[in-house]
Amino acid sequence: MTCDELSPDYATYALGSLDGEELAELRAHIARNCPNCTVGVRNANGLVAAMTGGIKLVDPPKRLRKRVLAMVDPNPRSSRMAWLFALTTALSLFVAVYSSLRYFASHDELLAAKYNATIEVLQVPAATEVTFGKGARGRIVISPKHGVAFSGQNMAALAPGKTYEMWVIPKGGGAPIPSGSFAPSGDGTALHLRPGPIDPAQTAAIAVSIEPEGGVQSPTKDQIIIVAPVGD
Amino acid sequence: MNLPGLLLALELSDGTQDAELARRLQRREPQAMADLYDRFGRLAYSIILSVVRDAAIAEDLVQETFLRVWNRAAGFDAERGALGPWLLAIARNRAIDHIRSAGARMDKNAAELDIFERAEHGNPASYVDIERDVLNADSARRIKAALSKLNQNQQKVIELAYYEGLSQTEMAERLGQPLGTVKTWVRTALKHLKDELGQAVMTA
Repeated sequence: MTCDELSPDYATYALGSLDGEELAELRAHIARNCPNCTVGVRNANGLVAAMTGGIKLVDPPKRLRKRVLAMVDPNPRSSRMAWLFALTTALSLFVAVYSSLRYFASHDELLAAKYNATIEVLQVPAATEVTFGKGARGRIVISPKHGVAFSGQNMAALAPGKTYEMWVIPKGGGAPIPSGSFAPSGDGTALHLRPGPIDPAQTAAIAVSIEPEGGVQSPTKDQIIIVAPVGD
Repeated sequence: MNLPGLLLALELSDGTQDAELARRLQRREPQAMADLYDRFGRLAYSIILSVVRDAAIAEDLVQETFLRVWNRAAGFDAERGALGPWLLAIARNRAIDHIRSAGARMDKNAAELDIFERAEHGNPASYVDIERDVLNADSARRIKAALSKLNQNQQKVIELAYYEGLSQTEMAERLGQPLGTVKTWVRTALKHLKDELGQAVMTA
């Protein structure tokens, strides 16, 4: 198709609604840096940006600013709270109860920190995409420095007493390494981070299985729902 | 002039601030993130909330949006600076990504969406030269007026595209209309909006 033929679809493309042959053709033009289509789409983005003027403005909750800034805080409070939580688990029952209260008070922050760390790893460009189950879809990212992050969407709710558990499967036939359990939220999304360095060259695959709540030390073979091979 | 439109224009239209803010983001200054949020947080939240209609999910997606901008600021052209439209496009598409992933259409459209993201978000330069004249107060008023002038079918397809991220084929299925008819509605609606906003928005 020519640029003239595609030009009526620049705005549809910018809006994200173009599909079919026109989409393929326009992408091909853009991929080869077609000056007409590149400028046309760039200008069309202006229209879509201007359409923001039609929405109702809503003030976000004040805590959201704190959450956003926590992502780039060089001295995150959440790390200190995590350390405090780890320490208190080794103390007496009285201290544990006291510390539990502190833990619950900061639970949102710990969850936010975990969420942030997982999202950070998911930003790594070299990602392994996996698809599993009925309509569910997942993204697994391996960062040698930070660990393994998993994001799942449209995941089935678990039966009571069950959890999803991640496994790092080493090369050479070694036993799968338990890498933490997690549950999807009500909307079927799930985020999980297995923190800490990992050597992709020594890793055969990342797997996820459905296990009894609390996790197990070796995966139940017929309950493995994901096996994502790790490339060299 | 309605107040939201005026505020929107003010928040989006300062290219000089954009350029300086982008440079500070590239230097990884945490305070730059604070300033970025103070300028665009409400807009990003409003856009995302208008799509996902769930406050908790909107908060998560705002967080993802700002982290994405933080991580990709190095690719931003600070001299030409169109930080706002770029960030808001990411916000809208994170929201659409979410609602699409939650539905049965997800697998079918996942590849399309990923490619769209690479094309639209991976290249901040796609968002230069668009905002200074476009997102001023007068244009904000005109876009609302233009939207209100669309006929019912045109408004419907724009809503389905903007708020739900549906493709033309999906809109045809949703509305029970021939694909050609939907394409005509979309093109006509967007041409009308383009004409109303003039060459400042789209010169192509």
